[in-house]
Amino acid sequence: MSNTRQTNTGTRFAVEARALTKRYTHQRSLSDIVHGRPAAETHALKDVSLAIEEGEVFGLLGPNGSGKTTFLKLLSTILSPTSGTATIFGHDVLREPRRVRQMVALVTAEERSLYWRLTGRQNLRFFASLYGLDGQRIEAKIDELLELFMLRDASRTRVAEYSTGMRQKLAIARGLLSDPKLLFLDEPTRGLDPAAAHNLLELVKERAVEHFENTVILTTHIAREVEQLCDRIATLHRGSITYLGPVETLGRSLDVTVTYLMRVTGFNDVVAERLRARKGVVSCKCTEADGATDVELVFAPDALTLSDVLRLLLFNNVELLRCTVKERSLEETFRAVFDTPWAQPAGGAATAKS
Amino acid sequence: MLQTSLSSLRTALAFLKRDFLIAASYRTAFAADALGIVFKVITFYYIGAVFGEGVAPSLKAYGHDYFAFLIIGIALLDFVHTSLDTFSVSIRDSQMTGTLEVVLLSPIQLPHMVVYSSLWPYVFTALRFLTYVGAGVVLFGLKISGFGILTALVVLLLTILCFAPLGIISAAVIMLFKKGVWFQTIINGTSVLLAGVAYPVDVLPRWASRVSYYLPLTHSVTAMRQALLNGKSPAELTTDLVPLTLFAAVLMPLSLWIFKLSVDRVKQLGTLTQY
Repeated sequence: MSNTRQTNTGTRFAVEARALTKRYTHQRSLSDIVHGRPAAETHALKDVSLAIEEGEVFGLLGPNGSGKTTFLKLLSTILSPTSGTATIFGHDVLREPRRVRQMVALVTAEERSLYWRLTGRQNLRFFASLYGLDGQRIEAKIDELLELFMLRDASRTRVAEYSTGMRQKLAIARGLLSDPKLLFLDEPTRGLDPAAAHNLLELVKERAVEHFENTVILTTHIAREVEQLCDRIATLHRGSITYLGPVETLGRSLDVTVTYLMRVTGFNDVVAERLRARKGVVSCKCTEADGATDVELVFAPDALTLSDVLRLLLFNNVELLRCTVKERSLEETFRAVFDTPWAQPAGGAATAKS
Repeated sequence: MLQTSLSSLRTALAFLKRDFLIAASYRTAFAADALGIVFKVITFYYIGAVFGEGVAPSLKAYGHDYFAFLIIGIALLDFVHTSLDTFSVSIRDSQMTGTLEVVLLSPIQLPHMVVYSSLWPYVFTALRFLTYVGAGVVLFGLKISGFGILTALVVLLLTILCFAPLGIISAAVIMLFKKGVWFQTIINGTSVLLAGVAYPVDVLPRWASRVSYYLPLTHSVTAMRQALLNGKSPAELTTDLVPLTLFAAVLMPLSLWIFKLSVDRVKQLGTLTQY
């Protein structure tokens, strides 16, 4: 899906962020003022550098408060960075905000970003006018988008009467009105049930990505959504990039442990204890079944390798009948890494650049 | 240049249409508003009747008609309220409805958005003004001079250009501090108290009467009454129109500068969409 066309400003990147940092200063409380304490600060984004190619569908994955939305707001000129720079198709977000805004569109999860007292068509007409679009051409575009997102029958119904899913579809249609070169999807499935979320992303893939060939940045905290839609992703954790690369290798990169399922004979408690005593082994569970033993061994791959384990088994006269790696879904990996307060994602360079 | 102007006009009309459609979707509110104005006009008439001829000598210029004096003052005050409120309300509404970010992500700039969002409130206030005067004419024979209508439009434009900047400053204050009612209260209270909306300024103490000269609303209400009730031309009202023009010339660029500072600051603070 990616391509590397040169843009008219000579860059092949849709987005280039260099050491982008956003720090929020909190308002001082009365107690802080009395005690002369300085205002507290939150680092929403720390030295984020990355480049996204034109035509790429890029995912930003991270838990709530990791800095995903701040990153999008900085790119879309709604916020100003504390330090660092960013360009959109070669145009600086601080120096050329108007030019940047002509090229981007934002789809938020915020249902109220539409005018509920207006119909779907009236909403699209109004937002089209903000981009200087008018007349027959825009009516044809509105018809096309309503058709694409299956909202034609509801186009004359007030948005207040739409379901959440319909509002999200209308928000995406609105995002595509101006033919943006770069589309930001900020948690577009928030508030939708899993089936509706899946269908919406399929629709985005089919109708927005493939039909219009935009560059897309999707932010989400749901790993399977980036699997469904994205070519490449970055994970954000407390404002820093912890992984940047293809979706397929994310699991490997983030996984802090590896699990092997083995069927063995000649296994006993002594061998189990020896395994558990090895540095890097997280757990070793054994169950007897049909004259053999099923062993589930979890260990940190940087501390122990499979050949170390096999050597130990061989040394203790254990016969290996079967050995498989237990695959973790991206979702499970993501949850394991980000839901554990103490866990630091692997490959944890604060900054990454493609 | 022409294309840019046409594009801006189209965008302005789109805002007007959006706000009209939203307002029209609350149908009973229209009727209730018009009815409220009629009730007020009736009340003003009878307040005027209580005073009869026994009003301040300065009302001689308006044929000793306190009803006519009051109704023009109150109707014009509506424009002042709109000017002070509409800009901050448009920001606050779009913050609360969640549309601010999406609108700001379009090529439109925040000051333009704020100005375009004020068009419908001004059109609606003009309709209210007509309802005030129309109800006065139809129900109680209020005499309006046809010759002064053009002058009244000039006065109205200058009044808006004087008070809209104060509204824009108020919007900047609200955007930055999230509360700005105190600013509007001071401007509104001072104007109503000292500008001769409900009573002539010469009934005030001498010092207050002097202060009133430096308030734009004093000149607005005086000129509007002279235009609509006595049919005066702009040339006959230079003593009021010149100060109004000066106020507008100073306040408009000042307000836009303050607004820009405020936008830059909230973008830094990240509080643009907070309310």
